[in-house]
Amino acid sequence: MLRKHSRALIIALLFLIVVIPSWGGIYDDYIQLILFYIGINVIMATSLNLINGYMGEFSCGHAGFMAVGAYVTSVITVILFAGHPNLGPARLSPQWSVFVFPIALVAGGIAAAVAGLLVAIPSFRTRGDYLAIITLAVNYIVKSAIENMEIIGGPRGFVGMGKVVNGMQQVLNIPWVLIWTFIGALATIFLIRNFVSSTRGKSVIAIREDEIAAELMSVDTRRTKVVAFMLSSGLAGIAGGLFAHGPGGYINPGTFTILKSTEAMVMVYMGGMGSITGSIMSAIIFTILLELLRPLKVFKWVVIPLLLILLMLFRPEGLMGNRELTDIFPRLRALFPPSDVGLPPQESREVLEYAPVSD
Amino acid sequence: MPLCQIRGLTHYFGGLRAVYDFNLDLEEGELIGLIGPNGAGKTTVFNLVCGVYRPTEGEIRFNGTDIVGLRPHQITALGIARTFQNIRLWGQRTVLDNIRIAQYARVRYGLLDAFFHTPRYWAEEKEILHRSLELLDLLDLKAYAYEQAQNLPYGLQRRVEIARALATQPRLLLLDEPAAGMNPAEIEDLLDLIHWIRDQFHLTIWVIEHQMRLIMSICERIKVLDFGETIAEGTPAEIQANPRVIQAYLGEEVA
Ligand SMILES: Nc1ncnc2c1ncn2[C@@H]1O[C@H](COP(=O)(O)OP(=O)(O)OP(=O)(O)O)[C@@H](O)[C@H]1O
Ligand SMILES: [Mg+2]
Repeated sequence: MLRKHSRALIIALLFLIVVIPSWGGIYDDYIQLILFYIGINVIMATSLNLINGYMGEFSCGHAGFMAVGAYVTSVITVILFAGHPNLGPARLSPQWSVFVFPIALVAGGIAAAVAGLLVAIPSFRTRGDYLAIITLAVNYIVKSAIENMEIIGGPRGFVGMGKVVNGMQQVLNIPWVLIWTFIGALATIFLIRNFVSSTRGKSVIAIREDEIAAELMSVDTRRTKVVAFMLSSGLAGIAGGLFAHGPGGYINPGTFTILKSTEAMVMVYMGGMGSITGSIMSAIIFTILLELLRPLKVFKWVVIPLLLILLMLFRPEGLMGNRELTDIFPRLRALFPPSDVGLPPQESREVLEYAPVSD
Repeated sequence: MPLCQIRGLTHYFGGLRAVYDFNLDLEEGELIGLIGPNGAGKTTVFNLVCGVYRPTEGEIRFNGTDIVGLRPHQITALGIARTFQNIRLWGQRTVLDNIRIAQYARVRYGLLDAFFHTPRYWAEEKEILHRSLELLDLLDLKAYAYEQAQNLPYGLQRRVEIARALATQPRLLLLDEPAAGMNPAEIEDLLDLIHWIRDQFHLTIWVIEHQMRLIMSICERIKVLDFGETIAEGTPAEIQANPRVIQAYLGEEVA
């Protein structure tokens, strides 16, 4: 019963905790900013977990895909609604951005997924750990490519997204970007959870556990890897598009460095490889930790690796290992819509009842 | 026409000749054995048939198709499945998931169905689930469906591996030392199981085995490899009497 409505319930809860207080001015700008970063980091961590956790490969250039999404989305919205010294005046009235913004986000995601495809094809052609090196290189390449594109501001960065957001707020004064960020985070969780619970998507985990066995048991491992990688980088692109429309409305290539990629990796390993709830929790904890450590300035990059080392020493499997919260507290399952037909009998009976088919 | 036809199969690992001029015709429904001392090249023959390695030379036709150069998952989808000498289950997955994933090639729903769990997705997953449970039931494994594969005793893991291979719906099943590490009672069960699955699933079965008891009692025809070369071929009785085989391999056991 509860399950049928649990999606609506979760969304309502998020509105109650995040959106409405932000809108009503109960949360100040600073708290809203942290909530925004949490949303972005949930997308980054969960999507990277698909590759580094579930699939057991090692991608270390997630911020590169974030950059692709950030720039593509922003260029679209700015050209259309804000205007830019190098790109000409606005083409449309800013109010329309309400409708176009989500489309631009998806476009940024698709662009990042295509970039992911370009990385995946050579990386997965042969067995072996090429992915780490290639993604590292791609992160640098994306950053320097943007730095060398004067038309979008080069190293000085790209502005105008503030105007776009203002346009949306003229239509209706609600925290649009924050809302979209949480929709994006929910969508990411939904997509990845659905994928890894499907017979098709479970092949990702089979690859991690024994790739040769997977291939010999009819799994098209190359295709599976490419698909997973495109999904992961596409979602990072959406995170980028959202990030670019955050407070300040400004991005520059210096934001999307290896450091940013490292943050995403830290969150994955801290939360637990192959655990979505782990990634969500660690995204929240990590974002807050970063804020608390902000007064330390550069030294926070001494403290954070130290914490990571301690974690690796005392809890190498991360907060959650590769379990979900629902594995630890099975009762919580009642709260979540079921997704896997392979759960123990009672569970899967409920899943099958829930499934919108009958025979 | 034979189900599987192997001609002049030769494979080198660098300078090491692992298999040389291997020929075999497998008729539908046959149960054939491959034996030979350690390092003779038996597993390599299986790996060549399954596409893990591309043979240096030779031809493999399965069901009329030339399968040399195809990728392993394509060969599996055509109807060749195998088990491994060292168990290679996805240990942290449940037994049921092991069986489900092996049906990958038969999944017809698209990626978007998987992402959004559409009605089409549910309908097919339900089918896969029922098919998997049915298979586990047939092999007396249903009680372990929700256990992690790695937590099962060794003998059962071997059984799950056979079930997983069957889940790909093969026509030819390759078993690489299925009795390795089993006690005599388990071997008896395995003998029954192999006979039974051949009839139940209308399979052609090709077994590599060290256990003479097993190979001699179930195979209709046996090939013997030594240093990559075929040194004998025939019925179990012929093999047992063949002096070359006795010298190369059976020595201690027959004497
Ligand atoms: N990937 C590889 N690279 C190099 N040499 C290999 C490789 N695989 C097998 N070999 C060698 O090829 C020869 C045949 O090995 P294979 O595993 O086929 O033997 P086998 O008959 O299955 O032996 P066993 O009874 O021990 O399983 C051995 O000398 C082995 O060392
Ligand atoms: Mg072997």
